[in-house]
Amino acid sequence: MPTRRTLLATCVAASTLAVGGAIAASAGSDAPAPRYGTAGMSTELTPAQREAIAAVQSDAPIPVQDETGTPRGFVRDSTLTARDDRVTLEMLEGFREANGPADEEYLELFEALRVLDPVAVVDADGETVGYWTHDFKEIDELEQLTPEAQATVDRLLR
Amino acid sequence: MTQGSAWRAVTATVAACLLVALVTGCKASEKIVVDSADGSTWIKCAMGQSFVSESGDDQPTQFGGATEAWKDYYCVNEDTGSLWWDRLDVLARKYNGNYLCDTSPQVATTVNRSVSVSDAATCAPGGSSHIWVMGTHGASRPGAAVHRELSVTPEVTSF
Repeated sequence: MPTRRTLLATCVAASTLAVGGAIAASAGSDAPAPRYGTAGMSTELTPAQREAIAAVQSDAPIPVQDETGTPRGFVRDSTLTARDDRVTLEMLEGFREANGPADEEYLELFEALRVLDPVAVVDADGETVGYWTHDFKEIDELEQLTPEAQATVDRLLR
Repeated sequence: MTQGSAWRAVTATVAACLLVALVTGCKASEKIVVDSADGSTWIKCAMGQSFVSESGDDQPTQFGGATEAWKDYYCVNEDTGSLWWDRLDVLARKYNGNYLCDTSPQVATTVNRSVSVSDAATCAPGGSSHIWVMGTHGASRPGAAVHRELSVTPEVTSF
C-alpha cells in the first residue's frame, strides 16, 4: 500500500512530466516564424532573388551598393523597417497621408526625416562606412544634407 | 478496488488531466496567422482588403545611361462598417542582383483608401540584366504586430 510520501512523489513526478511535456510542446510551437508572408510570391525566382529574400526573412546582413553600383557594406531589414516605421508614424501624426505616388511634399518630407534618422551601413567588421536614407550616403555627404533636411522638417512637420 | 489502487487511479487521472491542461494551454497561446486573400501577379492584399488594380509592367526607361523599372500596386482597406485594419502600408526596395540599391518611402493609410508606391532609382549605370523590385505590404490591427507580405517583380534588363 503506498504511503502518502509515495503518492506525493508520484504527483510531483507526474507534474514534472507534465510541465516538461508542456515546455517541449511550447518550444515546438515557438519555432521562429518567417518575418514576412510570401503567399503571393512567384515560385520562379533567380538565385539572387532567393538570396535577397532569405536575408530579409532571417534578418541577415543585406549587401548594399552605392549609386555607381559599387558594393559598400551591409544593413539589416529589422533596422531599415524600424526606421521607416518611425518616419511613417511621424508623417501620419505630424503631416498627412500621401496623395498618390507623385506627392512631392510627402516624398520630400519623408526623405528629410530619413536623413535625420539614418541607418548605419557597416562593413564586414561592423565599422560604419556610410548611411542609408533612401539609398547609400557617404558619411560627409549626410552631414551636408542634414541642415537642409532639418529646414524641411521645420517647414512641413507640425 | 483497494484503497491503494483507488489512490493510484486518482493520481494517474489527476496527472493526465494536468498534462492535458498544460499542453492545451500552451497550444491556446499560439499566434494568430493572418492569411492572404485576393491578389495580383506580384502583390497580395491581406485579409479584409480588396485588390483594386496594378499598373502594367513598365518597360525599363533609359535616362542618360541610367534605367528605371517600376510598378504601382494597390490594395484597399475594405470598409464594412468598421475598418478591418488599423493601418496599411506599402514599401518598395529596388535591387541590382542581390544588392539593395534604393528604398522607396513607406506609404501608409489609416482610413479606407488605397495605398500605392513605386520605386524608380538608378541602380546600374552602364546597364544590368538583374534589376528587380521587392515590395512589402503591411497591415496591422491595434495591439497586434504588423503582418507583412513580400512580393517581387521579375528581373528586367537595363541598358
